[in-house]
Amino acid sequence: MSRWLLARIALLPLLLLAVSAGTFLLSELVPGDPVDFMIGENATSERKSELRAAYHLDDPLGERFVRFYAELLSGELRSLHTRRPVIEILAERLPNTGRLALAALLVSALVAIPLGTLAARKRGTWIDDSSMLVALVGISVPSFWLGPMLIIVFAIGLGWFPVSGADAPGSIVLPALTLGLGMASILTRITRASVLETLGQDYIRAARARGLSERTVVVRHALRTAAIPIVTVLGLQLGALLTGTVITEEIFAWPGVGREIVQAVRSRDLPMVQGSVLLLATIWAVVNTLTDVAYAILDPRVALR
Amino acid sequence: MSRRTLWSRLARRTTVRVGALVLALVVGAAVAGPWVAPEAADACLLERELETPSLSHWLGTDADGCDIAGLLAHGAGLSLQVGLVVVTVSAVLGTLLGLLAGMRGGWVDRLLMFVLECFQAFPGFLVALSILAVAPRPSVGLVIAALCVSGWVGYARLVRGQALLLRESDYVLAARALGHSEGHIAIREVLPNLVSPVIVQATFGLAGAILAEAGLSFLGLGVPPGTPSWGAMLHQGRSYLLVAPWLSIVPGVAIAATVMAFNFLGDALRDALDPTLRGSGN
Repeated sequence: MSRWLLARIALLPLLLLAVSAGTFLLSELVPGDPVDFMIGENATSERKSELRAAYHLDDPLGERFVRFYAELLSGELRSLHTRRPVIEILAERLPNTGRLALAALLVSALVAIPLGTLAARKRGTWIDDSSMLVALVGISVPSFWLGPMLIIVFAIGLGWFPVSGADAPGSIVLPALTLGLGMASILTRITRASVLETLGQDYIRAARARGLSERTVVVRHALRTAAIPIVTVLGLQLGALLTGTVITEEIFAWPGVGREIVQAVRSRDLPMVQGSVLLLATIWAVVNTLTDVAYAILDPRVALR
Repeated sequence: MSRRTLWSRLARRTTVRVGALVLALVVGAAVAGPWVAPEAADACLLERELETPSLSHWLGTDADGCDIAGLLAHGAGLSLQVGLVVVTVSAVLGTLLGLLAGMRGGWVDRLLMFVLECFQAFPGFLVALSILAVAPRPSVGLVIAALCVSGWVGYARLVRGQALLLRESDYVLAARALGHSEGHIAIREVLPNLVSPVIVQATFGLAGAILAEAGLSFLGLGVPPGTPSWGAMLHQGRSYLLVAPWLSIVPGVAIAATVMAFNFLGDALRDALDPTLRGSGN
């Protein structure tokens, strides 16, 4: 078990190295001249060679890779357009993305845990069937459609929330709903399955035999055990959320990392794309590792596989 | 389970019937689209921009004066094409690599597992986005390739896990005792038993690939401008939420219904093919 844990954690630096190499190689794998990519094919050849020299594009691959790392670690990787350090821009954006991800997580837990528990308790009834149907429909509705629909109804129609931005009070509600409701669908199914499994256990029967109310049995006893897989899925979802924010932030002009990526891609700002992708991939890799480790601690059989 | 039992089990579920009906409509639209609405992609008349739904344009027209019903039919073809190619390439590649790692074990397995971990460190959508970001010019082929880059990972992981289990099963030991080669065992004995889970995953994969293409095109980073795509329609619709909400509603319903149909089928197939879940389906 401890050997497995150590191996899993030791893999993380290797993974991060591979992730950053992958991000660096992005610009290498693409056919064509990165200079054309930056300033367009019609620029003068003097301007092109000036840029090639400025970005050391004629240096050997290995040397550029080392320079990429040096710039990355010293915070000198700069946006092509604003010339500000990428890390500085991302440090401004990340708290907004984190806030949105947490709010979405809260939305999904508030919807999914009661709904999934109810479905499990009413197994086989119309309540169970319809909550599972709602969950399946929820998975299928894309955030890039749900978002505009919420805007039409709640921002334009009812005027309850702002259409976009992050400054006005309540501006987080619609983006959090957009991001959280899709996730709630997955979580509802996990909660239902997990509560169902727990409700069949002997100790639950014992609790019932002791004359405890159904509510106490479910909330105090069943849900507590059922929480293990639910928490794991929540953890995994946090990683998925970070990428989900790309689309949601773009819809609501939410000033986070995801929107920064889309804007960098549109304006062909390669260092900005590399920096933001690297940041999200790093968070994703760390969260995945932590979730694996947490799961192994909760359920030692995992490490034995 | 015999094929007939599988079909009768599937056909009993309402969700399967609904899913099959939706998919029949989508396939019908994709096949008939180019004949019924040949003008959709080419002849758009600016003077009839943003018309509300009417008898001549029963889903209205978009900002370029194109008939939305026609665009929707053409978009159905693109969605299905992207979904099918991405899933076929990803499933074949992932299955072969997973089978190789699971059957061989040792350093081959360890190497593949590390490569898998590396690929999984990048969220798939972000990989596709980054590839499209640095591509010289957008194309449908590039979108497909970008989605395949991380698409195979899930299949490889699934197949490797199954192959590891099957490798030790009695009938494989029997085949080995009969002197069959490892290649023969992998292809003739183990692979047929992996088909069910791969089909289930591929059904969900179709939904995922269609969503991903629509998402990329929604961001304006997917298919080239002018290509009729559901995601691109939503992209345009965003600018007209106030004056022409149907521009967003119509393609969104098409995407959600198609994705839901594949999810319904995937769910039913998983319940039907996985004996441990039998009886828990609705």
